Amino acid sequence: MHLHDTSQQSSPAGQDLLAPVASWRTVVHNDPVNLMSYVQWVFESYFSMPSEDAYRRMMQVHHRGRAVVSSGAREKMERDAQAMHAYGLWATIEPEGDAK
Amino acid sequence: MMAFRISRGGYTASASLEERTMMSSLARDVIYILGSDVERELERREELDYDDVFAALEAEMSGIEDYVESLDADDHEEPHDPDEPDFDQHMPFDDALERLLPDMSEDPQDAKELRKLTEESVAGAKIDNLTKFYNGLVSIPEGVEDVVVLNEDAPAWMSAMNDIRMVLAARLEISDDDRANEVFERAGLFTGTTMRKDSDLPEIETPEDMMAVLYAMTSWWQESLVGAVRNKTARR
Repeated sequence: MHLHDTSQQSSPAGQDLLAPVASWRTVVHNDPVNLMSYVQWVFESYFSMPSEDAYRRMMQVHHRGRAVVSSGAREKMERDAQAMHAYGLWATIEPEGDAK
Repeated sequence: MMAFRISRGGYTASASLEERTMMSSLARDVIYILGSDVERELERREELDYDDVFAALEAEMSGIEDYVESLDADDHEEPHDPDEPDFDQHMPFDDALERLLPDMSEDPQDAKELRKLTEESVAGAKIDNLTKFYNGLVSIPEGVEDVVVLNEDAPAWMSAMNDIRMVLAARLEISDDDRANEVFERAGLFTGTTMRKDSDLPEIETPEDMMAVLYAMTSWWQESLVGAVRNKTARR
């Protein structure tokens, strides 16, 4: 994976305002420390996810090791990942369509 | 120590002075790992509040806080009790920091750039949460066991306990669920389970066992606060 490979994006983010905004996503990874209830609460309170949705994504993190929690412009994803880290969840950002 | 339950305007649990001191010391250690010092953080907050209408009241309160902190500081100068976890000597510092401030991208170059942009602010948010948690615990007068957390402070408390568990997990080398279960089982030998009476419990003798007990204790307390917060939200 290389994030600046232009074949993955219509244009480098933020350089051409008229081009469609390159789409990114925030992924939360599993770890053996975070409590399942806490992860669910973080999804509910930060992303305002309905309880069932937050539960489903939390279980996806737990069983599959990762789950996409948001997608959009890169700057927004940076803010989301930063917020996840402040809560103590491990999150990374990646371009959409990345084979994972 | 008792679990958090919903109370008016917040949540209430209970913890003895000894338990509160263990928890606040852990918060102090994590703040240190993040590159700050809890006394400096508290002083800075006092200066920021100086123009506040409550300045006079707070000045009075800080006298009490200073006194409690000076007691705390004295404790730290005493020769280290071998039963107490000693972060300065045994802590794998890099591993703990890596868990507190992980990479924000799986691409190494991008991770490096993102770290430059965000690390200071993430560390700052964690220091804020841990300072709030520390201050909440050390402001409880001796002889009082109630631990009251206001609604607006609950997120900071949950996050602070999470960071404390991250650091303990690094020390206990918890890298998968099996190892986490092993630590909980080990801790159960000393804290007891429903199957065993308190009087039969063995003494905690090694720093490793102390860490396991602290990890289990913090996990349990955090879980109870998360449960209470989610129950309160569901009622609205």
